[in-house]
Amino acid sequence: MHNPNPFDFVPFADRPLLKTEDEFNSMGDLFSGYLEVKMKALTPVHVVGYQEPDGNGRKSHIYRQNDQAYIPAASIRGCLRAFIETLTAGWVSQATPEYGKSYKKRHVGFSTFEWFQNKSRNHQYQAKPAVDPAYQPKASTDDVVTDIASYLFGIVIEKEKGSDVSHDALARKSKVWIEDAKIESEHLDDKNYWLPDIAGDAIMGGAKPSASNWWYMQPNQVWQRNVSVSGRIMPMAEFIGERYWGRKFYYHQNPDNCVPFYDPQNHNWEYPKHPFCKVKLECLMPNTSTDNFRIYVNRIPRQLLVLLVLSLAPGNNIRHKLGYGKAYGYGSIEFSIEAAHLRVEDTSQRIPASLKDMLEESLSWSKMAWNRERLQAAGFDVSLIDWSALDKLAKIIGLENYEKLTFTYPPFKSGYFARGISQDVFNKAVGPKFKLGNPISTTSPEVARNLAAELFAIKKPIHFQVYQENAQGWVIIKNRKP
Amino acid sequence: MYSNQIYASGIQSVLKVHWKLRCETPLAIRNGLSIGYQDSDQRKSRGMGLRFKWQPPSDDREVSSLHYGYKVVDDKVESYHFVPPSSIRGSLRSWVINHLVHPSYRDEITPPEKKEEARTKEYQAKIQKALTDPKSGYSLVASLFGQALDTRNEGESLSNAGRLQIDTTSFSQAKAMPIAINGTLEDDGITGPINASRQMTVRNPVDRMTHASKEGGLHHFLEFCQGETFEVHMTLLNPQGSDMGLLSLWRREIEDGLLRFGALSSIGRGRVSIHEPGYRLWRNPFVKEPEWLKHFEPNNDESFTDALAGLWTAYILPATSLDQLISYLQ
Repeated sequence: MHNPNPFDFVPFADRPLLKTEDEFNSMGDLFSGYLEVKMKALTPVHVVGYQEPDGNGRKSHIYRQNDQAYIPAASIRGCLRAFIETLTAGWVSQATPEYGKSYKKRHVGFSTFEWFQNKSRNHQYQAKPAVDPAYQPKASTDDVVTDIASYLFGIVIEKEKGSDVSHDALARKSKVWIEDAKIESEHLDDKNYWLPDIAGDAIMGGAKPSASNWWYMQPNQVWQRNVSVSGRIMPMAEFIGERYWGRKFYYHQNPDNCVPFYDPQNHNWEYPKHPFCKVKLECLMPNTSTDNFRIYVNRIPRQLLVLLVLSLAPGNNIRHKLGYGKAYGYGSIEFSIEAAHLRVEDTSQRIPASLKDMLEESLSWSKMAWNRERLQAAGFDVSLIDWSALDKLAKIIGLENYEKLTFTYPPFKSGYFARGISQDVFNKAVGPKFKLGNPISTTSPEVARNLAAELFAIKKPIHFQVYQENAQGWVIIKNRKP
Repeated sequence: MYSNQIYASGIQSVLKVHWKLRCETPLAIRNGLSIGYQDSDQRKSRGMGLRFKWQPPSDDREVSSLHYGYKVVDDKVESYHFVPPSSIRGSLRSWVINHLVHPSYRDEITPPEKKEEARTKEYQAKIQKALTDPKSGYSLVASLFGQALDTRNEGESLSNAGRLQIDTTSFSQAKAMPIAINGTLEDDGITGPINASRQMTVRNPVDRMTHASKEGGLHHFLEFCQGETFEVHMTLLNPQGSDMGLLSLWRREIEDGLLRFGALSSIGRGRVSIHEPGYRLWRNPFVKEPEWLKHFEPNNDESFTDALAGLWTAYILPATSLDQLISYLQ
């Protein structure tokens, strides 16, 4: 049985949750002030500073400012924002807009939010937007709506050609300010941690999103592609996807379980084209913490402050990942709120109040995770949360039994990614229902699953979900709750 | 009630404030220019091999420059980094508008572009209304920071130059430091002004569906390092009780990190702490004493020199008394 893939996807809700600034502002008293937060490493944590050659490989030093190690604010922000975007059906705030068709590299081009026209001598194919365009950040001249994450963290929206949208509608300042988290030198270890890589430009495990497989994309069709092998034309099956499975998150795991899997000495992984090398990592050691750092809020309504606290301390099971080498177990972290100095911005008072100690109240909010009844009783609008997304988040970034699991990429070898499916093999395995030739539509999820299941013995990583659900330890993952 | 005749009886008192500000987080103060750098970075080395050039970018990569100026020392032109007074002034003014001006007026006091004549008249009417409404809080801003409002009728003019002047000193780093890049120091010597430690930082947004770096998203920026210090000198002419309250609030909000300077507050830049505070008041002894003067102590120290020494009476405000002055803002 194979290990599950180290990442998985949280599907998008039917539509994003958007509201006007006024609607957000009226979600309770507005709070300003700051939380003092500590970040504890559950597995080694590395954020890249600079890298230098080291033997056949490299050494990656942790991020520093003026010779002092930090977890940079931007990494913490990105981690929290990505979580909140997913939890609250928010816009996709960061995405590469287009993956064009490219000879020998990408058979099928696609755009993230737009249709993409693929042209070739024999075939024309218009690829759907890989993400529902409703999730693209937009500004309008009418009601200026935004998602929760952009209300909290700010956004700059690109002006569309010919648009007369005002500057105010295109840019919003962040209401959450996050400072860098300082790391004391005694909490660093630069001797014991490494991850695998390959020589050359590419990063091992680096993302290769493709619309000609069902790994990043949901199934759409199966095409016949004629491939030249040693001067002979071979008809092969090509699995065309059309929409991303969702937003990507990485599972927690212990690097000690996973990293040796890739060591050529253990014969699990072949390095036919590019030689293997080690990247030694300087890490914040497990069970050590950063110094306290501050997360400021500037006039955010009570409900969204509660949401921010819940996102920092998301219950007993969910924990965040951050930094480099997530696929190899690095970067599992736990935030704890050590102090809360906050005030209500009371507009009836001329002078803003002093900050007050609100630690007890803040901790009481975090204890409500993720009990709908308790949240509702506390006046929290539970419709702000995409509960299906939360459920999936719990399965991926849930900590429960994580030590029992090992996640590894499908290897590039026979039976896995290196295995092509010829027309003969396809037709023989799938039987009389489908014949490779004209495109086979797989818009019914069941058809695609059945096809992948029937081909599973020949090639495992065809359909992302089928691969995961047949992996070792899936029962543990499946049963995780928020 | 607001009056633009702020010096109708002349200048009768001057409050001089001195703060030494220490950067508790990095500080990003730019000047709208760019400097070039060469990137001979090896593959996968993340920022090694960058060479700054103290000149505008040509074919090289570029990064926004930190604020700097020039001075002549021993017949030589020297460059130096400093925080422009306008940056401090702008942050203080914005804070007052965002916190002490009533929300119903806040959005209405941003001047329109000059070409929009109709909106200019509308804006003037709104400002006039805000200045006559004691609950608006706007007269604080107009009186202290000044108000430009051309009504084309001198008799109705509401403009004044303001009573607050701000000066800053250059950063006080004594040791020349190269620019730190991703934790390493630029090994090609020292670039540009040498009176402040600077670092170049990188941000790299991640695509939400692939977790790869967003194409075109990688960008660098320069900032002054944590621990850098500089001085701010404020001069308040004819100080009012409400000015004392403002000073007290500014100090509190700066120390709490809610009032910041420069760019990138979203990633925590621009928090400073106040050190060696000094509050010295000079006033005409023949003018009636304001009630708030009771918080000040007369100062007869001969070392207390100033152009006003011997002309006016000197007072000093103990830094610990500043908090008590918030109430004068009510």
